[in-house]
Amino acid sequence: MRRWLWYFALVPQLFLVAAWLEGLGLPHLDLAALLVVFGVLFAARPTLPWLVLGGAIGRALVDDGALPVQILVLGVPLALLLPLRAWLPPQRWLWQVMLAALAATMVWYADAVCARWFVAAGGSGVWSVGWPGWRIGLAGLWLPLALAVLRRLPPLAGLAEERG
Amino acid sequence: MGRFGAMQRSGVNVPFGLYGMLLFALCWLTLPAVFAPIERWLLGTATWLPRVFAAWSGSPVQAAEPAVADRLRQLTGQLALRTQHHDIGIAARYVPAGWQPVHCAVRRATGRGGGGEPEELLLDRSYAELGGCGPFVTKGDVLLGYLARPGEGVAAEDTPDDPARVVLLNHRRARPVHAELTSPAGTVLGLVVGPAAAVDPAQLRADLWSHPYLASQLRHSGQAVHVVPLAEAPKQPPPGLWLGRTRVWGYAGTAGEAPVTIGVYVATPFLPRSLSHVVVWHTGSGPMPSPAAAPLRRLPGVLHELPGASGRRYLLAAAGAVPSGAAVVHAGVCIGVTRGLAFDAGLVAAFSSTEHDWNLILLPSDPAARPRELTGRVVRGEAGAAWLDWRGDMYEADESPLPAGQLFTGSNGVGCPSGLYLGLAAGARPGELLGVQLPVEPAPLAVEVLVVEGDA
Repeated sequence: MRRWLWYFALVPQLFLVAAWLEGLGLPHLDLAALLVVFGVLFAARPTLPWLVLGGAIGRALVDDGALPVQILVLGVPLALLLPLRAWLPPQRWLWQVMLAALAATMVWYADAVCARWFVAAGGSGVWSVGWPGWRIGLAGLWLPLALAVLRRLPPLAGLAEERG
Repeated sequence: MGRFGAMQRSGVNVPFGLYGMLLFALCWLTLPAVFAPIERWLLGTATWLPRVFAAWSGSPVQAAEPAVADRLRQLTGQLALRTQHHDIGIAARYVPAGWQPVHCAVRRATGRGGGGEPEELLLDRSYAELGGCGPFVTKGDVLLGYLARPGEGVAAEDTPDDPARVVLLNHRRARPVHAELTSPAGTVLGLVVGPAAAVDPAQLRADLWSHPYLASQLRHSGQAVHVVPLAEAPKQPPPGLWLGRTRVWGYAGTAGEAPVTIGVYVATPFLPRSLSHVVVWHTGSGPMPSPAAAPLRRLPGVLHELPGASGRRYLLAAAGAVPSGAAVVHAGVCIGVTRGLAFDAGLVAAFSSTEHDWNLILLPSDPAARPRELTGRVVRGEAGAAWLDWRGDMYEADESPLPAGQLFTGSNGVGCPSGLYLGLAAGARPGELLGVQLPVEPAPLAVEVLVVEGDA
């Protein structure tokens, strides 16, 4: 119970902190993609829906889309990438880099699709987002580093799966 | 790796919880009103920590300097006067003698009629208030549609105290209008104009031509279509008003051959979705409607900047429950609209960072020029500036440029009425983005939220 209190208290605020750090000049950190990578490689399966919900709340603080849209933006890439868990060794940096780039691409795509479809829930109704090529590359390099730190700290450490 | 892979293949590890959450999100999107309190509560809880930090961010900036406030009041007054003057226009020449104009604001445009545009308008007056008014609704010298009667037709469920409903000409149940146009060869053609289908390229469709062969020879769009009532039919719209311009639809001719016309549509000069004001006509029976009373109260609050979103997104701490879609006003300037949260909080997207369509009114700098009602969507924004993809009216011509002037909100729902100042627009030619300079002040800002009584 305590780990969930920590999680829901801290993770939404992390989105604001990431935006603040970006405002100070640090590189863009796509926390949604980071949570997807964490969910695919490290999180215990029963925690996944709540991992998505916490991330969606955080993303809703910094984005116009409604909360259910944010659940889809995080949840659909996670559901699609989750089967890779059976083959990807989680500790290999190369896989993490590739998965981070893939997750960032899918989160971007899900966001654009939801904005196109769900106008009543804050979407623009048009495909207005340009391809964020540099952000995808940045995510591949930057997310594994950030993940290496964050997954060892609460609240994400409490959600990781015990592996033999 | 092998042991781990075997574990994943067992049925126990299928992420049913995750799939359930996605299904729940889809249900949420299907029935947003049912789940809205959950969203308000979850996001409201998540904003507690930023609110605590925001409380230390200093005292809020209060109202503007007196000179600025005076200038804004002056502009808002000019907007109201000039909008009313041009909306009534020369239509008084055409309506029966003694009819008096009643200038009404549009609260909401609903439905999907001809051309995919809204087919009904809800006005800021009730049926009872407009009881002595005639059936025709105009803007300038353009016939827009008909005033519905409570208990009849599309308003069968409405009571006299409900907001009055206007059935636009592109409504599938609107009465067709007998009209005429003058072809480029100088021939006058009679026709009947009725609603087009939602997928058609314009709001109205021309039919039942007096000279079908000559109509099939129309090759170019743009002829004005005027109302010509039939003498023997009752309740016909007054002659002289016009409906729109033709839009000829067909196949382009191959080299050396004339194009083939397969249909003629009529594009209305004013886009139904961009209408913020219309005029109904009091026939002289019964009292004139009094000026509309504002149904909004002003809820005080403080706007704090969200981290990393300087001038683009704000956290609102108000003195009462905050509804969604309400305008947030600082010193007479519309900052943006709310997303209401629990605990008297809200998130506010500044105008420059919104993604949805806005109804807007441009007050040209030229005092003789007509205010323009338009729709626009911000495609690029930063603190203090926004660039809009816009679509204006076609009153003067199919594609006319927007003059420079002051930009105000049009009718964007009950909580975001027309006439709130946004910024200085540079003017734009068709196809160009409209650049707008927005007044910016650093947060925290003392603001007012326009709240409908009983809404939260």
